[in-house]
Amino acid sequence: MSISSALVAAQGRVANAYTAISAKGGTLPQTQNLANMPAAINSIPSGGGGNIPNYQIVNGVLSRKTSTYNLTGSEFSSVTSINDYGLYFAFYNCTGITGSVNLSSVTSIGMYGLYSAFYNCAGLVGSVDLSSVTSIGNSGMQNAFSECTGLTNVNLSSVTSIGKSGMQNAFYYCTGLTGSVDLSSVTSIGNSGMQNAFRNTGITDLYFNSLTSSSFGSYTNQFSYMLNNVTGCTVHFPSNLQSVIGSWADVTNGFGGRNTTVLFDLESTE
Amino acid sequence: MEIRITYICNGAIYCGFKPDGVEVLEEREVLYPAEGYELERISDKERLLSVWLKDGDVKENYIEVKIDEPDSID
Repeated sequence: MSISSALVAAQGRVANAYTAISAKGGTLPQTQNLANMPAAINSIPSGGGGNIPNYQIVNGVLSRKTSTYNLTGSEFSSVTSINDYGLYFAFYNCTGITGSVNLSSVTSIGMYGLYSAFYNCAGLVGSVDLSSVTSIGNSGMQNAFSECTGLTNVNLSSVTSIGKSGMQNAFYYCTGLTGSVDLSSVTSIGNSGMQNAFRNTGITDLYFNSLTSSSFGSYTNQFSYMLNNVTGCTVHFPSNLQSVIGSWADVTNGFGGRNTTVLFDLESTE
Repeated sequence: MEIRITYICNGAIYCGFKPDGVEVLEEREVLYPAEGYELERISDKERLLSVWLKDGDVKENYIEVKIDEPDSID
């Protein structure tokens, strides 16, 4: 390698390093050279790093994340689909964000689309409107609203398919979440699809009206600890499914909940 | 750790309690750890969140191990 090409390569590496610093929330100096790099690295805020992008999307505009922001509820109202990795870690740990999330026009959530998107946004309140969503890709809602303690209910009534780990930990430790959750349109659930989905919430009923004997593929762990540390919840399935899932360990242990009732009391669709 | 009984009935499964008047087809003893813990089978160190005690398995075959909270988000 010539001296000139080696210098060009070195300059490229410095530029890449500054790109990484910026992505982790660091402050870039006016002159981005090696001498200024230590200070730039030290400017990365505590908690920054990893795969956490330091940005937010408001009214379709991508911008730097701020420590506080009041969502009006309409920011995402025109969004019709969330692509793969669309809001991956977007508002992760943004405890300063308040207000509500309106995703009522979203019809599909791609792979990792909402992965940890609102994790520990404890200032979010009220409902999460996902009423138009029909498909949730692999890990599409994994950790999406974990530890959002201010959420009170969620609408998932149109969801038909949940991919592998699609809702794993989706509402984990949402201690304010109560009442019924309507999953009546779901016809397929992937491996670990509902694992820990409602752990440590206060939900009282879950409805799976449209599941059939062919909804589960070769797996038996779709509901693994779905209700871990939830007390007194009733889960409703079609009447014919007791012979299919009634002996699964995750079902007979009450999905990890306390005093769980599993009822096969819904009309079969097959 | 705690053993709770699951009552399997026709059309319903009751975990940890039994309503009056229901006809029980099968009972299962399920072992659960305390909150914040998981079970570790002494013989092979396998970690479990609950265990159906059957075929002579007893709670003395398990110990409670504290789990990291919250779950990692890899």
